[in-house]
Amino acid sequence: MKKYIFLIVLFLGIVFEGFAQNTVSGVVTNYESEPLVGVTVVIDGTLTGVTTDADGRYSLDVNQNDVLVFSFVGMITQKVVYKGQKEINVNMISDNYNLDDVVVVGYGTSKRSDLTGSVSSVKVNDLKNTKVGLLGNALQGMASGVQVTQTNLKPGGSVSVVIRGKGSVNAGNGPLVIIDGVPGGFDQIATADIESIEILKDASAASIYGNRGSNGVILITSKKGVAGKTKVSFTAQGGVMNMVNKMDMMSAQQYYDLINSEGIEYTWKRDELLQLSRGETTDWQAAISEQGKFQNYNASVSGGSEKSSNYLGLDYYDMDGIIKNSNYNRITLRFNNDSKLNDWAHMGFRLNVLESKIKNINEETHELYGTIFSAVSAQPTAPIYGSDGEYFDGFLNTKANPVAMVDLLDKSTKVTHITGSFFVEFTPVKHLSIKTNNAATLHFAITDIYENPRMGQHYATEGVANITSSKSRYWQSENTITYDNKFGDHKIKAMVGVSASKSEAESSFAQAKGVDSVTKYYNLGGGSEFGPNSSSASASTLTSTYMRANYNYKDRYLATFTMRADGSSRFAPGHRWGYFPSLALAWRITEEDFMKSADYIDNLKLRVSAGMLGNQNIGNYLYQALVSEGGQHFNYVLNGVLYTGAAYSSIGNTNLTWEKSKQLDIALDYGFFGNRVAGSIDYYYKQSTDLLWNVTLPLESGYQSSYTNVGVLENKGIEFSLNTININKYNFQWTSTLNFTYNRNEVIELYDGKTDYNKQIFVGHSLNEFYMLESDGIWQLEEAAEAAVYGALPGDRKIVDNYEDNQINSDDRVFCGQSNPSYYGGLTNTFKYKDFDLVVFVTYAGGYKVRNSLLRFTNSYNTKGNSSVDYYNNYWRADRPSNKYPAPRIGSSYLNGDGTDAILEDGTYARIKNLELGYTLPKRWTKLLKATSLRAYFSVQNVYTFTKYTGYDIEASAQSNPYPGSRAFIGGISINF
Amino acid sequence: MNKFLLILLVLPFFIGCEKEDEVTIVTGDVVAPILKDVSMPSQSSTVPGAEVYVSGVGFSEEDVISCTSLEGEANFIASVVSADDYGITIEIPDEAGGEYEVSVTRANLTTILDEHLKVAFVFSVDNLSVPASVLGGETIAISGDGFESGDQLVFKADHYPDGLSFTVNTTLTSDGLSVTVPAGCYGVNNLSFIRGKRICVAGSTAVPVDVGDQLGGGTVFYTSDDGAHGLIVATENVAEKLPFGVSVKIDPYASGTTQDIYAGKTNTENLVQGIISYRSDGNAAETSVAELCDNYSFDVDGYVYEDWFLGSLQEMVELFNYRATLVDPIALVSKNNYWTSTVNSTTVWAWAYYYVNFYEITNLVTGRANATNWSIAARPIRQF
Repeated sequence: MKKYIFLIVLFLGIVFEGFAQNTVSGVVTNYESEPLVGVTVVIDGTLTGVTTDADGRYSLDVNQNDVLVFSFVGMITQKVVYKGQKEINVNMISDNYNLDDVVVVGYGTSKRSDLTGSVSSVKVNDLKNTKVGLLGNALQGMASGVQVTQTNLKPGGSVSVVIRGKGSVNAGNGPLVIIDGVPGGFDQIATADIESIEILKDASAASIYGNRGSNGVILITSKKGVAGKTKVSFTAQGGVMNMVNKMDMMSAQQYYDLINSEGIEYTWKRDELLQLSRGETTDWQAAISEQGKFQNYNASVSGGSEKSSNYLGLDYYDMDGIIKNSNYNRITLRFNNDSKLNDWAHMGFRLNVLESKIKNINEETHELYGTIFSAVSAQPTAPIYGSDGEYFDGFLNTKANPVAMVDLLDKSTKVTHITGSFFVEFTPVKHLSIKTNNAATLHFAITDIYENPRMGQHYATEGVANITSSKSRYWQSENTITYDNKFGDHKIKAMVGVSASKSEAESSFAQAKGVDSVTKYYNLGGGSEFGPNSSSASASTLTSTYMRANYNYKDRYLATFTMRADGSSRFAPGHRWGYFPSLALAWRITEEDFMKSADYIDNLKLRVSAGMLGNQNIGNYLYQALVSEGGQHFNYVLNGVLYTGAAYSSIGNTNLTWEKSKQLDIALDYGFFGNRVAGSIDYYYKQSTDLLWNVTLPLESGYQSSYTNVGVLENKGIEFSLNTININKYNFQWTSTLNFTYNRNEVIELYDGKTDYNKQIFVGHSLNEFYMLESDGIWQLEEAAEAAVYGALPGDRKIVDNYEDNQINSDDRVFCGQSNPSYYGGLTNTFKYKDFDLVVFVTYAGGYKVRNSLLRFTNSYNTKGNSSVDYYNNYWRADRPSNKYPAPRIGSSYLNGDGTDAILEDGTYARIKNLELGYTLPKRWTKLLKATSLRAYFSVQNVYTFTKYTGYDIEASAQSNPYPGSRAFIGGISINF
Repeated sequence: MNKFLLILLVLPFFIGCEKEDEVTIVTGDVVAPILKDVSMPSQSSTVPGAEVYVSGVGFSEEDVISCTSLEGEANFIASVVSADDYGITIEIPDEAGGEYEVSVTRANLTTILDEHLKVAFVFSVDNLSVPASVLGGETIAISGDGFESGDQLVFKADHYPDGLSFTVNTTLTSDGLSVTVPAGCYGVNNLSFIRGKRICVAGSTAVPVDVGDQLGGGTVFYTSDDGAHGLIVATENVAEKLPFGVSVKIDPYASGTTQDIYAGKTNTENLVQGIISYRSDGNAAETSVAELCDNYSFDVDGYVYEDWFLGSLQEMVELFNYRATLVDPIALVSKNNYWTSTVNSTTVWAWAYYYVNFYEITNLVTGRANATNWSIAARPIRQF
């Protein structure tokens, strides 16, 4: 009965509502929950409508079942049926292919629709997926063709970015990074100050950068003030990090048992036996690690008038790593100004000042003595402190005490980086603009190191302190003239420019021994022994002219011709100028009349580009015969007196030239269903020639080697990107972004007809292919006779005799996979429900092997220290035959698997890198704070990694001393006024 | 829905911040002390009241060292003085003596050591004073604190045959005790007091003798140091007509001899070693006179004197000189030429071996003889 009454009331209500005209109001916001001003709201099929005000608010009289249509340039139109709601708040999202987007290209900008080259734009909002780490980390998984590898997971650790495969062996593979027109690095700008990032991947896009462009170019543009209301933003985020995938090492008791039961000769230290008796195990990994902490604050003020606009950004980043005493902090100040001088001239300046400090532990390069390796391999029987109260100092292989190292090793690098630039742009006549952009950079770095002798064996018994100090200076002047006009269906845009730049660097190194632990590097004069001391200086210049011509016919047929001539001081006089042309053609198929009827196809653009680029990263003065002075190889004794000597140390090569890269790109940009499905697919081919190589010379020449240009390297691949809007309701949206890259790298030619270089690089194979012995488990008891042929015993590691000559040696090596992922990419899913948003960001890579050097120690018994629990439980014993790990027989061949594929692991992984839930406070609450928006969020970084890799972190260095990975729990708040 | 999402947003803050820093020391079961390379101090240095060092890795100052007697003595717990990386220093109580099983207890868990602690059975006498020289049969006074009734004094010397020592009872006096030096002692004697199982080493004293005394298996023919040291000639020859031995190259087989007094013993040892190594190099050699003297033994009342040797040139000259003073020299040493153990190191081959002519009575004749062609006599002597 109650149900009936309810239905009747409901029916009456609907009828009543159906005939009444009501007022509906609400707020229209973008994805970032910022109010959208000027959104058109009309009732479908009528001309009745309003636009949203400065707060994104609208109010409209509607009837029941009217359909409200919300539309805005660059946004996907949203339709909502009025069912009597009092308030309809609408989220609008950008379409996936906004033709009118302005894209920054080298020395200018372009409308996205006019692009002919391969340019990936990174959505700045997506950079927030990476909260811990520098900008380079944030690019991972963001764009197809861009492979980002973390080379060091320490706070402030750097990344390696490779665009479209490695095109060089010895001259670097990193792209040219340009920040507001000035060459820079990922650690030189705060992520929050970035307006846009464009990645120039093909020859057409990058050839405007000539002999610096062959590895691709990343253009970063900082935010600038916009005329209108002054906008103040504040973001605070912080959190904690915990080590993931800690190595499971043997306990003291297991370690003792293994050594005793296997009759291994071992010199026990008293403190070890005391610790064993106490039943204690030192968890060295826990002892050197702690819960990491992270905080990042960013404040910005932007605004201005039609005459002048400013952007002021202040960013503070501080991270305590999960290994004690590792820290990175950085403060960045940015001030950008744009001013209109008059109707035909405007100017602006950019200033970025950065101060950072990184506190290092002994990482990567300190393979067998580093902090992490020492902690992993330290005997679990060893106490942190000995009976005498000092740091225990009885580690195997003369390692230092890991805890002493994190407590006492003092190693920090302080950087000050200042970049300033100003430009003036004149428009003397219509369609013509003249721009001069002048910039300078100052970079100071000081590295202070004090090695406290209390750390133990590996370190000198007296304190050693040293200081490395460097300063570099760079200036450039870039001057361009741009002509942009339209003649009927013909649009022409041409730019010519000249530029000049100079880099200068100097550095010095001083060291003293016998320095006390109080004054350390602050008073090297307090030492008892000095040197070696050294200093150096270098300089290089680059003078260039360049031009770019764009032709556009009816917005259907596009052509771009680019040409750059670079004159670099790095090459011999007469060989300095290089010319780098490129041509790109594009056909916007959807602009053709015959495509007009296919209204579900919004965009189809076919692009083809080809060109040549260069890589001049060969080092300064390399073409010259160099003279070395001083030191043990050059000094000489005459009549019992030591004289400083000098001699040629390298042979000159005036023919030395830049590495060349011929590139071809064939691509299709697509957009379907109102650009709800959009993306592009590229095929690229990149042939690198004239590779810089230190070729071995016959010793009778008097030199061991000479730099020359030889060899051919090839990269080809497919890139695919897909952006979809899966669900787009006014209060619920689901969007996805997927990118995928497949790359095949192959060495085509070496030199002198060689098929391999030191058995490390092979013609016909990837540049980084493993060529190793093939392991095949463990020799078993019943195979004793066969094992004896190879001088092995049951329990030893079995190596496949591929050469079939009854001996195991380097002839038995085979190819075991490559170290570069053959495919990689990222997947982002974003959900927005009313005021909540959820992001799931996944990165992945596969088709490669990782040389997990630490396995040499964890998965075998070794004289360096502890092994893994897995080894303890699974090593071969006569009474417990195992095919997994060899018996702990010191001296047996290939015991630790070094040189064999036993230390290779499948690197394929998929990582949930960010899981983030955000909540934007309703307007009525933010209003109380006089804020325009306030979002709080919680993010888990590095949530989970699906991989077979057993090391600390698939992205950590594969060396035996990697900085471990961590999972971060981060909370944050961002507020705009 | 909104509330649910809000809870989801807030919840992870608590999860993320909850984690404490990890435990650095993981505690498992305490086990009995683990000790490696344990080695006990020598018995001679392990005496009651002393601090001794038991070497071994893994000792702690907290260890309780319990010693259980294997000889019926009282058990004791040794106090620990200190422990370091290579062992532990413990104190042996005054009443300890004999062999003990040692156990090390830490945190109520005990390890029994494989090796036993052997404590010397000794007692001590403070302010001990023994006369430097005594005569056989003389009653002497020995001063010192700590003597007890029933203590005995033992006279022992390296030059006495195995098993021969002289034990005498003592009489307590106000200053110490008095004792009668047993007849038959000669030369430098080591003294020690005996009290049951325990011993107290009391230094040494000299019992001088005169030339011509019949003792030590023969006749004293030379003394020095007021009679405390000397040489004794055997009563018989070990050879009457024998070459010295095979003519061997002196170097290296017969090197290292001298002519000096008290050199005969080491000369003989060198010559014996020389012939042994000559044989071990695959050569044949008859027994040499040096070996005959070295192997000679003489029984006196069941005690066998075995420390005979072939005298050096000077020692045999002294024998000749003493013989010359006798009324009946031939009764001591018969007429013959006698080998000595002195070899001329500058002569390479056979004519290198010194002899002394005992055909003569007063006219000393010595010279070098051919070791293989000359057949003459040999007489062992010994020294004290």
